[in-house]
Amino acid sequence: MLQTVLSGLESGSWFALLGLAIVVVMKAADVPNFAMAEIGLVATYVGTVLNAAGISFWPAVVVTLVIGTLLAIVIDLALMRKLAKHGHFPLLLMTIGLSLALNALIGLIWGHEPRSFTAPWSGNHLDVGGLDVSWAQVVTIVVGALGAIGITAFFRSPMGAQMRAVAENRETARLIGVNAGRLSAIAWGLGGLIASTAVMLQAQSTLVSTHSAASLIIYGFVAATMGGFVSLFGTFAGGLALGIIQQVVGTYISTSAQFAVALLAVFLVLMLRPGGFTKGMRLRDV
Amino acid sequence: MSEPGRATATTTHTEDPTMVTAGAEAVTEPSAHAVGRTKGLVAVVALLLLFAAPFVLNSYLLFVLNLTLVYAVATLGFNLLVGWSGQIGLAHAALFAIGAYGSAIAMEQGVPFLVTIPLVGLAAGGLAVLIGFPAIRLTGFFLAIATLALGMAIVELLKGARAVTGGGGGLNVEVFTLPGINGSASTYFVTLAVAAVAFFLVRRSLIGRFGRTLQAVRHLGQLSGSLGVSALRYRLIAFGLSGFIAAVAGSLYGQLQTFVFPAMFEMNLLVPMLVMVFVGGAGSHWGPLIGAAFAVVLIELFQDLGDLQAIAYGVVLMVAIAVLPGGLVSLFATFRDSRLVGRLLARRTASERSEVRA
Repeated sequence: MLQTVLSGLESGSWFALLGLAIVVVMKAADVPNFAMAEIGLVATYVGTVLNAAGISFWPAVVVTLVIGTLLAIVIDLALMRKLAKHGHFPLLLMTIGLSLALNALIGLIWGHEPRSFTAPWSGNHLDVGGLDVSWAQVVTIVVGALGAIGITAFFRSPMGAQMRAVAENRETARLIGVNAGRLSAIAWGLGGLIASTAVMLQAQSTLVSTHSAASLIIYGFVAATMGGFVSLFGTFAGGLALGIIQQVVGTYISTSAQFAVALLAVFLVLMLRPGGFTKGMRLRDV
Repeated sequence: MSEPGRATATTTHTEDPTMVTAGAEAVTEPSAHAVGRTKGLVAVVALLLLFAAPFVLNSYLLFVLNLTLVYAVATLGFNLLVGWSGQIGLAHAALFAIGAYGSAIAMEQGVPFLVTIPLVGLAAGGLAVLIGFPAIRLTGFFLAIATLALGMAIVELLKGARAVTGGGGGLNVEVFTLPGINGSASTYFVTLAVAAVAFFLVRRSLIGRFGRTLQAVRHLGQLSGSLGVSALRYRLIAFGLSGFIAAVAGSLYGQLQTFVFPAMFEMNLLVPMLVMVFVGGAGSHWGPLIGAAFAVVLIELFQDLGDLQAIAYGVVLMVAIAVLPGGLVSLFATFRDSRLVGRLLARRTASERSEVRA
């Protein structure tokens, strides 16, 4: 059971991070981004190529993160910006088109075989009181938690406050001198950074491929839904809970039911607590 | 006296000619009438041409045309929901699947195909109303996610219910043929007839009070309650109708494909459906037809490209959105509103008026 919970926490961290990436873009730019997993995947593939070419681990990680960030910023500037005035529907479709194109592009360049990102600690295990813990799991869970704390801290900084102001009311925020365009680019860059981290964490523990991106994005959206697309804490906790539920269902019921259960969870959250399940739990507004 | 605006927007609705009598109406009505008649004529000619298709086209082109019509019907329902009532409900592909599976399973039980069409329509319509219930509390993007989740859950259910649906392996569909006509032509005629009826009925209801109420609800939301219109009721009706139409299209799709399996109805169908609504122009009348033709041609053109297919598809989609955020139909509107065409049209109307007066 504990073993299941542990692997749940691990996959939950990927979902939570991807959910956070979605929420960050949603908050500042008001775009539901279906291409988030693919952005992370493109960056991670570049990293694995560098890694395979003999470049050592940490420089490859840095390059991966930079590429993920830049790619997201370019997408915002080149594709999303001028669609914003036409409402949600074209934006939604644009990200869907983008995810199709990026996914196929990855397949074309690197093929559809699953790959992994070999880290110095890959394959090493710990024994914690009879529990078999791999270093990959430790890294994922720790980085996931640090990422969540970092993003929360960011939203409390002056720039984060501006971002929240834009999310609250774009027009008013602009009137008081907030540069909404620059913030949107920053949010996309931040989203790309977090998404690349999420996919890279997945790749150093297990395999990633063009197929894994599709399910990762769905789970990311589930996590984001649990936070009501607003709450960072709700998204993070929701992602972890989703990972655990999914592993428990996979172990004790059937792996084919995993997906359906995740979908059911979304539906229940939306019906019972449309604002995310942590809404109202906050004691004071910060 | 009915308002002239309504008559102009109508093709099939050219009312009693005797109502064109003296006064100011006499000046505008005949031209509106003429436009209506021309449009009606175009529709009839197009329908006749479509009926001739099986005798002219080879079997591949007939299949493509048939598929276009099936998708056009499905998009008609989707457009009703997304375009007219403004709710991004994403369970449409799953409701389409309900139609395909429902019809095939009912036929296995001995129900004639033509009877299964309204049956699956009613079943999916009811289901769509249930799926639409989150609309009580959710709007916009949240509704999209909730309905997407439910739609995916339905497809998962189709995979799981092995005893009835054959699971992931799929299900053979018994093909219905009209007596004396060969298989593919018969399937095509049934599709064409259903499509014509569906477009006619939906258009008729949308240009009248129902369509305007839907638009009012879309724009005003809960405020429409102050006009004595229950927003919730109209939202659910839109869900029900779109579900009905989706399942009707699904039953036709099953006949066309003769074999159905769950993977047909996942994101790889939902995305093209969204494209069809978008390209055709959300909230337009003939957009579904244009959108379906666009998407089917695109899919067929890029079929042999392998990995490039998805790239091409994604890129074309992105370019289309970037260039025409209002869909292909907006191109016609831009064209119509352009100065040159405006002048040409104005001159024609003026000459027609002088003819009438003479």
